[in-house]
Amino acid sequence: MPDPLPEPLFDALIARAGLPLTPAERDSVRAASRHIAALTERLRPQAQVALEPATVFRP
Amino acid sequence: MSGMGELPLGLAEAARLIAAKQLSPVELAECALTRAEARNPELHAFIRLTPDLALSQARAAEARQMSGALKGPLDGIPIGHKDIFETAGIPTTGHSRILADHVPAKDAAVVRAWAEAGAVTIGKTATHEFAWGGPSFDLPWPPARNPWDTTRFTGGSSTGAGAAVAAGLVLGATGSDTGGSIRGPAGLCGLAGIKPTYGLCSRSGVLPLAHSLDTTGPIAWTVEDCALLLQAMAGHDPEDPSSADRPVPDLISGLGGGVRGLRIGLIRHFHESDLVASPAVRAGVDHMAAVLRAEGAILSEVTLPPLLDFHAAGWLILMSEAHAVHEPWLRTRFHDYGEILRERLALATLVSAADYLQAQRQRRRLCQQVAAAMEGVDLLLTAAQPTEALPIDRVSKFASLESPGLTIPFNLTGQPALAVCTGFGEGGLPVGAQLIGRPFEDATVLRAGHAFERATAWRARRAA
Repeated sequence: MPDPLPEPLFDALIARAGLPLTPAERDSVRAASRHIAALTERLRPQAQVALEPATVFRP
Repeated sequence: MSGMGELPLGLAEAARLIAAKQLSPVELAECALTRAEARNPELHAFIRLTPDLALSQARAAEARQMSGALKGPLDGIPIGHKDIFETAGIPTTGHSRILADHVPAKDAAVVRAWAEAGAVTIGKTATHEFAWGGPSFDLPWPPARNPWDTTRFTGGSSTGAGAAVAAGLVLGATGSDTGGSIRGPAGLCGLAGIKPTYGLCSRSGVLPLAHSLDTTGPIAWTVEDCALLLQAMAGHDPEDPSSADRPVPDLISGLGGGVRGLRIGLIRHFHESDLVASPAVRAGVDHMAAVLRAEGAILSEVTLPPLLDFHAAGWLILMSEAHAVHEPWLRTRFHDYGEILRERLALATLVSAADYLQAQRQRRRLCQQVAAAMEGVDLLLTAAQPTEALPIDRVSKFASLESPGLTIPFNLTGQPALAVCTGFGEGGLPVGAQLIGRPFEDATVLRAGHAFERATAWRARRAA
């Protein structure tokens, strides 16, 4: 399992989202951020450069 | 019938009795309301009961019954609506403090559809907060409990629907399914529940969780009951941009056609190695495969991409889209959410736009791979849930991310997926399996599920 997001990055993303996390919430959510890292790591190696997303817009 | 009696065993049986004038819709509604009032303090299946509406609808159904003008099999049938389905003049809260005072002006399209078919609304059922945050103990209403063992979780997020149907308080209920929220409660409460093909049923007037994954569908005691309920809620709705503009399929006339010659692909790696389900769950899947084979189906094994690929794409999409839905309230009312949902949504804000698009690109590839795997089979079969229901106070805050789920793959692909009870586990609680079909072949899924239930005795066993 990957590490949680680095503290400066985590704090910047939470600040951008405008969330008033308590210290306990900050610890809990930052610990869980390793799940996000695991999910994104799982996808990235498989993406082919020309692969279209499943949400291609059709007017 | 009135008083603390038992409801008929299922919707189809009740419909036959009503059609034969052997069962009064008013007495049936009174019985359902009495049972719900008596059991709700323990089960918390309902956020609120709607006795005035129920009795008004039941009286109208009874008048149609007496005049020989019944609308069909849902006429006079007591049902519940998940409290993310908007109901005109009746609060629709999403089980959240955020919408505690929200009273919609009109019904959700599928609520209207069931009402027009004559269904009798007994109340609004509990849900995980906004269909994602639970089981939570810090919301205005407690979480629903499993009627098979009230110390246990119902599965979510259609928690109250599962509890109310399993306890015999109503004969069917609406659910929504974004990552498994119909099939989870159906599996853990010993019921049938179908996540229809994406686009088959309207989501207009239903509080969203993740727009590209959200579906609405029924939970009921039997597959036949689900078919009757789904028939009444399927169809194009121009107010829902995802709604498929195609004729309503006939889900009923072929229901009893059996499975002879149907080709069913067992995705054994999903529940035996990608995720190791409990022995009872695995035995239940094998039991279902054996029954369907004995009924004439042709079983084989298929291999799909690893469950973790579906898990990664599914949760990144769900979290991103849920963040978009909740962003305004997150900034202004963050601590009005329950602890579980606010921390899950806070986690969702960490997903980048690139992550979301990578997940949507992966989704396209997964859809193509599953479609290719289904070229040689008509249905897929795997487990519905990995275990029996857990103790309700032992469901972790980020449980969905800790191991891959068996249900979200078919939200990604949009395929119809039906959960059915395959027996009982080591702890005496229900276990279940899923049957999955090609898009818009919901009728085939229901036909196979019905064949299994007809060939087994699991539907005769009810929660105390």
